[in-house]
Amino acid sequence: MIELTKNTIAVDKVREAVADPSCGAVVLFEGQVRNHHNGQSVLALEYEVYPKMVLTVIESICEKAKEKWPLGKVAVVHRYGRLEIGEVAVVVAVSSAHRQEAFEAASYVMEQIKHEAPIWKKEFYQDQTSDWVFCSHQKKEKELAGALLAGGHSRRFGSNKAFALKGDEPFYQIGLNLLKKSCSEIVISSNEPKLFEKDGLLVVEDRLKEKGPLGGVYTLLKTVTPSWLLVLACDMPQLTEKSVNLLLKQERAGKKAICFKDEKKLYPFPGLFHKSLEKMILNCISMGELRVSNMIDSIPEHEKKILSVEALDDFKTSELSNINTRKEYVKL
Amino acid sequence: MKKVKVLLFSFFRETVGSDEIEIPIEEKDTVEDLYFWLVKQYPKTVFPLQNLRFAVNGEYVEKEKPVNENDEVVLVPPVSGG
Repeated sequence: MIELTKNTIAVDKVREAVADPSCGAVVLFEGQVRNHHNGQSVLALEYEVYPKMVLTVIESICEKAKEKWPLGKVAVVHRYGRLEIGEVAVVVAVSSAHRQEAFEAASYVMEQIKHEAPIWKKEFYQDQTSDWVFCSHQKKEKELAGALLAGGHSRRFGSNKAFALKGDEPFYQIGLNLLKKSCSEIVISSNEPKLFEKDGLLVVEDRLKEKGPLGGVYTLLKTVTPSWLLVLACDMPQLTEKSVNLLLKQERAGKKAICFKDEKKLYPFPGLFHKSLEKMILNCISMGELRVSNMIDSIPEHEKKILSVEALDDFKTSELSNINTRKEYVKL
Repeated sequence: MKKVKVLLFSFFRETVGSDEIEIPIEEKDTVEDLYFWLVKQYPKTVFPLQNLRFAVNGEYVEKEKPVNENDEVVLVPPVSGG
């Protein structure tokens, strides 16, 4: 059930819509009209919507939630037109087998509706004035998702590299810690999702099997909501926050990819990739091109920023080296 | 002269005083160009560009997206549902 209505929302109906015998939890969120905002006394609200788009946007938010969490059903009803104080403006209902998923998914769906759905709110104040509410949310680092590639076969290494230790920390944890500092949403790409399950992390399996790191990046871009994706590889335990920040500081407007190179080669990871690369990546893969660096090569110069490490002060190229063999590992 | 239909909501609808406007387009015009045209005609519609989004035929697009005659374009000021 995903609906817009001009009339009072029948909350019971929304709750009924997510009933599912396999679910032990239902989380129901009601957003109601508040009598104050930014210190002003609010008398009433008016919501305006773009009818053609709003339902499809909310539907895709609900689908995303179902991909992220094992859910039963999701229902959303949003009001439009004029609303008085205390009226229910939106109801989100989520059912799932266990409560944690339902809580998290309901919160996610609500946040996404606030940020993505073409709905505009006008507040009418006590002093006879009125104003459109512009939430100051867009274009922050919210627009950045983080991903860790841990899908390799580790053939030369002999065991899954993601779990090799540096000190007492597994490689994948080092990558996750870096991502957590700047990204609003984190995903791991792995073909063994069970390995990461215990940590409650979002793990995606490649949509395109055996298509290497490029297939992994494609799947990740497809999975995340923000328009930019910071991708790290799990076998780069020497990477530092400073280098990652260097990438994040670059102007992203008009670009599709940002990464490092040295005089010998281009390092796709750590790298920033824009969602609009999806199609191009698919083209590369369909032509048998599975190397991320070759895909980046084919992006027009003005649409990418490649930082030359030789030009950077006090940058250790070793930060960018992958640990592929046991020999490289013991040298760490 | 080719034209494209632009739907106006919220701040743009009130400022222009209409919920729809036809904007002339030239070859290679992008959705962002439509916004620049609007600001020229209606200076009060000026808005921080980094807070503005664009939708074409019911989907969000990048500001560099070229427009075609039969597109339905929406200038999307910051949304505030919920």
